[in-house]
Amino acid sequence: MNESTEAAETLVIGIGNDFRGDDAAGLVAARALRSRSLSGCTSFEVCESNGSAFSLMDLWRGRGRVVVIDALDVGSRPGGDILILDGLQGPLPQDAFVLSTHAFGLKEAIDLSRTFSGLPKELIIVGIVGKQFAMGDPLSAGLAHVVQRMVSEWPRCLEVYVPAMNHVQGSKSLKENGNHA
Amino acid sequence: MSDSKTKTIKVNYLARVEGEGALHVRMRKGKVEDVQLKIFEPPRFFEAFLRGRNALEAPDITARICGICPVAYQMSAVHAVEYALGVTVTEPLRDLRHLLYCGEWIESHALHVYMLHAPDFLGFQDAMGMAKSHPKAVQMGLAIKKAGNSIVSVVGGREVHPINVKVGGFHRAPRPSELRTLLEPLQRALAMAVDTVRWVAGFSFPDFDREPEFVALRHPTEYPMCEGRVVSSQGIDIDAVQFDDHFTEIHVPYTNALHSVVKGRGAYLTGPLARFNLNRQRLATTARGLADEVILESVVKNPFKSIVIRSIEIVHALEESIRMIENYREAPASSVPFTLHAGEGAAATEAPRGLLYHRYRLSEDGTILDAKIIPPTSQNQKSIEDDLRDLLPSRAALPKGDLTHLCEQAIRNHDPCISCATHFLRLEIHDVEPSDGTVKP
Repeated sequence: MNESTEAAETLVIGIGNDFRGDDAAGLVAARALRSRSLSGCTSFEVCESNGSAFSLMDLWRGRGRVVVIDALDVGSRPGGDILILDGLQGPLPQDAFVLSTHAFGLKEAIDLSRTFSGLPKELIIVGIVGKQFAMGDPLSAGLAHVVQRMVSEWPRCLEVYVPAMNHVQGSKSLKENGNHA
Repeated sequence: MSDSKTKTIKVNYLARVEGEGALHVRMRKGKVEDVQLKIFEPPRFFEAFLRGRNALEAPDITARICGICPVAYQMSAVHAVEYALGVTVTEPLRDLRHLLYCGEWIESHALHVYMLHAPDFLGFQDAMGMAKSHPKAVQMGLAIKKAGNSIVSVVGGREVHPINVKVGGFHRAPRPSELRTLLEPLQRALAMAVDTVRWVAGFSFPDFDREPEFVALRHPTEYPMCEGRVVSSQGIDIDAVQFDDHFTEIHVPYTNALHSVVKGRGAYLTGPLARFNLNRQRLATTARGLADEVILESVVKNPFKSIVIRSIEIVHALEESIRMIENYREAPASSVPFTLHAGEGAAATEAPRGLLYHRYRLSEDGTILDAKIIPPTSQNQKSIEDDLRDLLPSRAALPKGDLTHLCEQAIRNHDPCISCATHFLRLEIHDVEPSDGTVKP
């Protein structure tokens, strides 16, 4: 498969809530990536989602490579850490993904898609650890910087870290590896 | 000293309800001493956020309050602002709004019936477990939900947080050909929804009746959704602009959501049971026939049967959607003209989970000076607590795990939308020794 075909098959889904502080990180990343894509820096399809399991299932059904960017609430991790998870390998952390709609979010989308054979061929989850999620909070300045840096390194950051993907305990952190601000 | 007759149930994070909430029930010797449904609702963030914004922004801003019922927020907001400005939206734009609202009812109710509530009756922890044993049922729910999503997408501009509604009408009215593409999936969904009504009507329901004051909209000819007077089973019959004269909100220390009560009486219930009990004869033909087939009582008092009512309302919303699409003729203009001026307006519409009231006061240039939003969950909160107070005494001997599950199921009867977009799935139960306040995990 040549590079342009592979790029065209990649779908990036940014998940979040603009009104809920660091939960906006996935949406901000998606918008920045769309701008890069439109300006010709790179090429892939980008969409935004509120994280509803059902919209995610519809978005990724039949797709090749899907990258989901979402805020993470992992108390033990410093804000700004970026965890790369393999969505097809084992369970996701139950509580870590902040956004959910009637308790049907990313984790449930993966579980139901697996039951109904609707998973994409490859599902990479980019979790950005946030710290403030109160209604009305802005995206914290530190996290905005992290998102900006991640987007500027796209898609190299995925290429570097995808081979090291595993479950949340051992998930690779870009910060740990010196790859973000 | 330990008091073995005291049982405390704490569900610190409620699963399968929208938002963040917790339940605290304290029982002693089979009697319920205390019930507190704690809601961590962002305290009136949006009411404050709206002040100083232009009234024309209200529909889009308030749509962000809830990921499940953005159309309800848009509709109550747009109708309240239009009331303040003296704007009347007529056919076919009025029907388009009704159609958009039907889409939301279909998707929200399908989510609740299949994914949130049915697992309770079939003995599954959640829909993921149910999907493994009842894949066809879950797929049917997903198909019905998708049909509703499609309506919201075509009429509202997108599935999530639709953006096409504006004061005076729509930014763009869909063409009849665009709507007709929805017909086939809607007709398929209708057949599945009819089966669903008979399926859920066969569930085993806990033996429990309670008759709170039911409050819903009532329209002369339509099952309530977009318009109507606010009526109750105890004689209220008012225009929405009189809402504050008859209902008031009270602050309760243990929750940051306000409790809404009928002045001089107290708790009341909005939502499917109230709508159905006050408007059953206004259901569309197939839905009314199914109701007569599966619901023999004249007033449904068992809140566990709300799943049956929701299923009937899905049928109604699908029938209405098909009818409106078949009759749709494109309007010459997508909105009616108006001018901004000072005024005050209020409106109530029927969100899937109950009455949603908005009131706005506007300055001469249309700036919002004051906003009030009373969501259905804060109206139902006191009644949900009353359900638990009445339900639990006769079941006090149940093991705590079963009792906890029953409490959660009783709360889910009302599909509470506690805030928006965040929840944590943690459930903790503690036994409390009241003599020294020790908490034992």
